Amino acid sequence: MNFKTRRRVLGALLAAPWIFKAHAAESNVIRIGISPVFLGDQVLLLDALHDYLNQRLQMPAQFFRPGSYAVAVNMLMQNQLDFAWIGGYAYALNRRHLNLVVTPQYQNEPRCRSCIIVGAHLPQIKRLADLKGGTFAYDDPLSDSGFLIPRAEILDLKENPDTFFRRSFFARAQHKVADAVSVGLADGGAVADYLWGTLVKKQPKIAEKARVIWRSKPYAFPPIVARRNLADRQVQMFRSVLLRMNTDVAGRHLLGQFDLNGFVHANDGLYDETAQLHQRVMPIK
Amino acid sequence: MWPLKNRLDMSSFRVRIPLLMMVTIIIATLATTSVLTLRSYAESREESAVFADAQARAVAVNLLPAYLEDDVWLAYEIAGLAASRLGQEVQPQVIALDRRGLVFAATDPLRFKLGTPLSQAGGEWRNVGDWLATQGALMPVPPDISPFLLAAMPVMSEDGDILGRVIVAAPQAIYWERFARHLAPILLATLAILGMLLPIGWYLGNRISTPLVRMATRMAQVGREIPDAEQLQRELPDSDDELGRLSLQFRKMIMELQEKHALERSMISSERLAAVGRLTAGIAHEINNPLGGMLNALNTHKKLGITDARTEKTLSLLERGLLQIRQTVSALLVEAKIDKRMLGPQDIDDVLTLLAPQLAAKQIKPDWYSNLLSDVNLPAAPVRQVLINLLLNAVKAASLRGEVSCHVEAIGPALYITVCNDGATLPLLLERLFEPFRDNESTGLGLWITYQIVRQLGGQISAFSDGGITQFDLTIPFGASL
Repeated sequence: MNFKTRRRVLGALLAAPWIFKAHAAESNVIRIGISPVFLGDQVLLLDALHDYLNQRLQMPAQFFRPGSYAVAVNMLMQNQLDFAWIGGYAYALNRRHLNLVVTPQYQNEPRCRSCIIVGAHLPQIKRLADLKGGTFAYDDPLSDSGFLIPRAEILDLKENPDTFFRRSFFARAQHKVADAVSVGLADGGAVADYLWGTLVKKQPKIAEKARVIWRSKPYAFPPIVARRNLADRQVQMFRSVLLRMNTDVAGRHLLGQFDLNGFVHANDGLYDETAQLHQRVMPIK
Repeated sequence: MWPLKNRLDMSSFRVRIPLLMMVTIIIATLATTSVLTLRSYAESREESAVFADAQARAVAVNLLPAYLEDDVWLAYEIAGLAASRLGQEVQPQVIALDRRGLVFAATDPLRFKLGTPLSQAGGEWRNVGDWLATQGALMPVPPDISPFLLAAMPVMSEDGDILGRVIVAAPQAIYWERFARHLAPILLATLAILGMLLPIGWYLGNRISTPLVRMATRMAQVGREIPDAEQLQRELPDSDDELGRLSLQFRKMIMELQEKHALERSMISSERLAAVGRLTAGIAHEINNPLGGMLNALNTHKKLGITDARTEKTLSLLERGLLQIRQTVSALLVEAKIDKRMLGPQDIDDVLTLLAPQLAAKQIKPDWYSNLLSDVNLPAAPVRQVLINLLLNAVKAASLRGEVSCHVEAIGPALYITVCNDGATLPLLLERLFEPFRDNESTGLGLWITYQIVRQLGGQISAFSDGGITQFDLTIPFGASL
């Protein structure tokens, strides 16, 4: 659509432009989608990952930046991507069309928690219930930590997630949720503890302006998935490169940059819990 | 030149004219600057308003995708970007309202909370919110509603649906910031112009006042003394304007005064000399008559024969005394000798020859000039006597190896004689120079005799002595005789 194109142009003007290290001329490339929802615009880090994968894979890798998890899932289903790093919720909803490749390990667990953060200027807000009638920033409609989990928690408060906040919106990236909360655009927001952890380390100035008031129990970490019709050989090859990543120095260094321990080939059942949460939060009416 | 008190005397043109000039310049410059400043202020306001309007328009267009996708964060980022473009130090507020008039995004989210009406921001925003609520989407916000410079623009979808409204609120400081940028060069130019014009004004003022003040000062002197004409010429230069004409007239007046004064002095001097002449002549005649009798008696007695040695000695003593008296009296009377010979070139040469010993004694080579080629109609003897008298004085007064000059010229109907010498300036008042026995000198009859001869020949004699030069000027008309 026209406005989407315009939005992409605007997005390019506002954020640092992403320059693809693409090898479009080559016929056989691995197309990997990494949406900015989770990782934000860490261009240098993605460049390094791109270089690493290019060296290890038997064919050149091409990175894509789908604007949301939904776009990434759509692109996979339409064979426009081979692999993508998407939210756990996005995977749990579309398991029929996708293959689980690996799940990242954060703090030695393939799981992470959802955190609710509020602006540091709102000391009176101590729990989620205090945010009632306020403004709230979600991250992506297909994010568990940034959307599904906090909504489930609102349900647990016996409140309607659609009316609990005076105004809520999707910031479309976890770091933007943190930004929106830190500048006061939203009173509160939902992010993954993984994101919060990297923010505290890398951008303490933003992290200082917000604080965590609630942490969920751990849910499956956003996985790296393949389109279902992708050749097994390619899936295996990509998986083995990622699983071996923590065995070489460059890989370990890179993982360290991402604040991850490595990747595991997890059981698909890891995401059952997320799927169940969806059933509870978004029942068929 | 003038004491400080006089310099600051406000009643004097010396202060008033330059001061007036400078005040005029300052007033004119400040007036121009004020007009420029006011204009620049109005322009800054207008510019800011136009800019805010254009920004609101641009933000409204840019915000459309954010409205369509309900992307609050994008709207916030676009608003922030627009605000930073509008002002460098003081940034304006950019507020995006949704269709219901609730805040969709704002550069200051703490003040304009999401999903609240604008009036909740408090202060003057209450008025703005109320006003907006009653107005159409396209209306500009009038300035009396808010101290801010407000521009409101609708956010319209491509099919013309109004999704919300963008308000750009520039605080006064925005155009003050702009105004300050305009003002700096204006003030600099003003200072530069003042810096250039003030000294010129002072100079021109002084040019007008200085001659006036000088004239007034000189005018004030007139009662006590007569100002020097040459100094006046220096002080009051000629020019074609009224001041120049005034100073010219003033100088003329001063010169006439000087001439009158000189005339008065010379008249007094002549009258005195004439009176002295009459007196001495009268006394001389009164002495001469008994003196002639006494000398006749002595002569007769001598012819009759000597009586005795003692008487003869006494008579001889008497005779010598009487002769000396006669000599003195005849000197005072200046009786011309009977000599009908006309003055010729040879007479002038004779004078030089006669003076030769005195000149040689002082090792002086005189500057000698005469244009006489033939006899002129003047008696030779008195002119020779006058020349010798003056030249003897001149040589006597001249320094060793000094200068003495004598010019004799027959021009038209008169003979002009100029005798000059260097040496000490004459210590005497010039108007008393020609009086007999001046300063009680017993031998000071030379100039008296000279004066008497010249007067009797119908001529003029004058002297001046200044700067190491003493000069006597004589004019004797031809045809004169004693």
